[in-house]
Amino acid sequence: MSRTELLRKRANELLSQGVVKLVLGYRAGAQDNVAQPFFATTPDQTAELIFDSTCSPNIANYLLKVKNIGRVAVIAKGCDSRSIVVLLQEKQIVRENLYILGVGCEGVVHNGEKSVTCKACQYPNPVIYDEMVDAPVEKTTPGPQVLKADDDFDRLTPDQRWQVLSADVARCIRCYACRQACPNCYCPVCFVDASTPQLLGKTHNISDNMVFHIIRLLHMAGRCVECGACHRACPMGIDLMRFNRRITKIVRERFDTSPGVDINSPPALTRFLPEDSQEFIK
Amino acid sequence: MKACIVTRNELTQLLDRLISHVDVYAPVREKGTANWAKISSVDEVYLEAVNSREPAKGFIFPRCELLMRFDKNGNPIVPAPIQEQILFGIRPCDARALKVLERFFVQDGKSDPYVQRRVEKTTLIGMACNRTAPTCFCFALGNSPHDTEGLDLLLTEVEGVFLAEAVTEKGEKLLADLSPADETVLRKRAALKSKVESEINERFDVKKLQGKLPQLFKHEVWEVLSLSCVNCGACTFLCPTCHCFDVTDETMRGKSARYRVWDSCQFTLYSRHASGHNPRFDSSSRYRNRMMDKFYYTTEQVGLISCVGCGRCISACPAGIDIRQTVAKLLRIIDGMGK
Amino acid sequence: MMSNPYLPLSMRIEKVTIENDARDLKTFDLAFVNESDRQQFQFIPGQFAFLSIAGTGEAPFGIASAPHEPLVKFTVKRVGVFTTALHEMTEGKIIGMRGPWGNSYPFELMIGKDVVIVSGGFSFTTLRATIAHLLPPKNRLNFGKITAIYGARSPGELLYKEELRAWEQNPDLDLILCVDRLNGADWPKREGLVPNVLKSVAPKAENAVALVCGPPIMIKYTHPVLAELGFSPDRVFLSLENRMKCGIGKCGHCNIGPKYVCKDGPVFSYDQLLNLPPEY
Repeated sequence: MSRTELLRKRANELLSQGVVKLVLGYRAGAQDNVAQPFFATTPDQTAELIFDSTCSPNIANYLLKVKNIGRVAVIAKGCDSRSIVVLLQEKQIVRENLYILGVGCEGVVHNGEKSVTCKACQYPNPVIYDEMVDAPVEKTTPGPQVLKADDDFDRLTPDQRWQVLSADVARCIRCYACRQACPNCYCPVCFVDASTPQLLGKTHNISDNMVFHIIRLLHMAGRCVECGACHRACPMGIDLMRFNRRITKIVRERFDTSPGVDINSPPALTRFLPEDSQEFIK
Repeated sequence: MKACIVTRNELTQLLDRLISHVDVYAPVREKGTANWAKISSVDEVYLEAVNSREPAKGFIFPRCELLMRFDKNGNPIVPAPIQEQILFGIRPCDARALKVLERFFVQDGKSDPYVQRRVEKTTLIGMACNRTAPTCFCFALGNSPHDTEGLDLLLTEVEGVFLAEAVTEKGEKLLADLSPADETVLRKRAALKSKVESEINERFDVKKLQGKLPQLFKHEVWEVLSLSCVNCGACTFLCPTCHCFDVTDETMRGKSARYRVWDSCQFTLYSRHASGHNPRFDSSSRYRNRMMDKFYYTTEQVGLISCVGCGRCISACPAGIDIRQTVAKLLRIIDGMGK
Repeated sequence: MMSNPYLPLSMRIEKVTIENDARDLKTFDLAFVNESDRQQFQFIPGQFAFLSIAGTGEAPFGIASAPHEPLVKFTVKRVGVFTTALHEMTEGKIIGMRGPWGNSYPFELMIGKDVVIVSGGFSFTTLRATIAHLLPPKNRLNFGKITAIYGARSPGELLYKEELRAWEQNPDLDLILCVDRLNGADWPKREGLVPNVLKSVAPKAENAVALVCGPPIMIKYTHPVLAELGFSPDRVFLSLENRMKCGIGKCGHCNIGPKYVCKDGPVFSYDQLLNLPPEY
């Protein structure tokens, strides 16, 4: 049986047996486009489920929509499963309400080619699951081009990095697709929408755009699982992952931890240990 | 109205002349696709992409528009109008969309002067589409990739030369000193038009949709259709006719100004009252609102549907939602209702 | 430049009145800085205007004064950024005003008929305007009996108390005031929720028009009472509100289906609302 057939079979069984009320997965998008997150509530509907390289939306984002339904099965690839861990650690969802059907992922496509973050992916297989649908996939070594681009960026001076960030962020139209596609952004009132006090302006003034992106990046520190959903969601083609990867790298280097990998390991920025770097205290 | 044949050279010369005394905007290469930018040379024009990433609405309804500055006594000062602008290479769907926006903003009685003065200063030179993208569906709505609605002049590339058809007097003035079009080129253009129209397979009965949508307001289909929607603003911001805006005041170093910025009915806080009451709190109510607006509300308000079939919302959606699937589903339900 | 509906007119705050004990309801009486603006500003009760503070923002408020009154009156509750800034404004300060926008109560339809006014809380503003507009002798003779039922949570929350006391004595108007809880106060005389008081007052529906403005919960319970009394949906008018930004039907925020509250409303007849989605 192919992976898709195995997936449909298991989803059908879980629904028929009443183990879960709903299976959250993907179904085919229109014309090789992005796969649509799909909520199967009857066994027949599971026939539409797929899992392939078009399954790019982060499925964990949708768990928050169905958290009051009861037990839900979710088809999770590596990065999505890490998002699930983060949401569990942040108490946004409850483990008992999840039945995680794990799938290994060979990378998703974006604009016809393998997504940049997927090329550098270290967690293609789920880190948490109730059962694996199929055999795990091999981790691929990131090509030199991917790492080179990041290394080149690291070698820039702070001023030069500011220029790169400004040029990208100047094109932002503040549609918030990045925020909405991200499972970590679940605040009922996002800081950009706060009015008392108002924290940043609503125009696309470069200053306000920078504040939005920088603060969002900082909110991602220690939480971003590098799924790339934000990058793929951006209708202006802004390279949002470049900065997320850098922030995630800094967190990894300083705190020796990657978000969402180990459910028992507290998130990096929620605790302060004696051995943490204190160079910023002058 | 006048129709001429324009060679590549003649077109280049025409553009050069225009660039020398007017702001000319055209699609230029941008990150794997095309997008609008002011051009200083004809070489920058890039028409290989089926359509530009962003629609042309920003030229009459900018993403961020200064409405007024306030002096130290709080008196408003309106900024000066823009200069003349020419949009070269605009596609028929986007030009039609500008007409919808113009009808909406510039109505009798409560005309929006900011949009009105931009419209008055804008000339549209369109480029007909001889091929479509998989996401195009203008023809499904009864529009054509060769339509002239909203344009001043329409160019169609026909075997290496351009057929130039004036639509308005403004367009006709641009065609001085050019050879008239003959039967052959007009016949060839007709063939190209049929060919490109045949690339779009869907057909949507928009009159039926418009007539029956009000009855679907309470239908459970909206709940299902909106499940994968994350309520970002991508579809609305890239849509050539979406026109919701917010008005916001900013104060910097003691000086204040009032701006309008694009807003989206997809945002949760869009309809929230100061009291906290939110008539469209559910994601499904917001998804429904957009569909209703595109295919029914604007027909009541300005007599036109506001979807032009450009397909940008399909490419932009991070959740793979396809408006064509939604329309098809709604029409199926409507057909089912009749029985 | 062609007429610009986004430009505010300059208004001077002539008087600020604190309306309630909680001090979060204030009435502002405004005068036009420019005489030509005053002459051009023609409105009918039911309409609203935007108040504007440069650098802070704008918000829409029902006009609480009648057209013949010398000052333009607004009663504002402090709930957010703009209203807080407005509440800090003192007499003599200049603010902006844009309007009048929207439609009005159906005065043409009301001619020769009885008028029943039902209102609650601080939504009473445009109905105060209506009553003040109906009472002057040359207007009064065009209408039949005027019954007004106005209630609030407590006596301290009633707006325009002095005026209300005077109106209670006015033979041209039957004003019935009520509060949810009297708590030992000696005024007003009645304790009860507005819909219940309406039921016991039972104004005649025949040849009458009802104008209703209040919080959603009051409206919800008032409808059945009006229906029972025999008011047909096309004789019941409500003043709605929704989030607004432009006031002229362009920004999209206030839509109820294909209608804009700012342009096609804020006054809608109940039978109009029956054909619109419940998005308000």
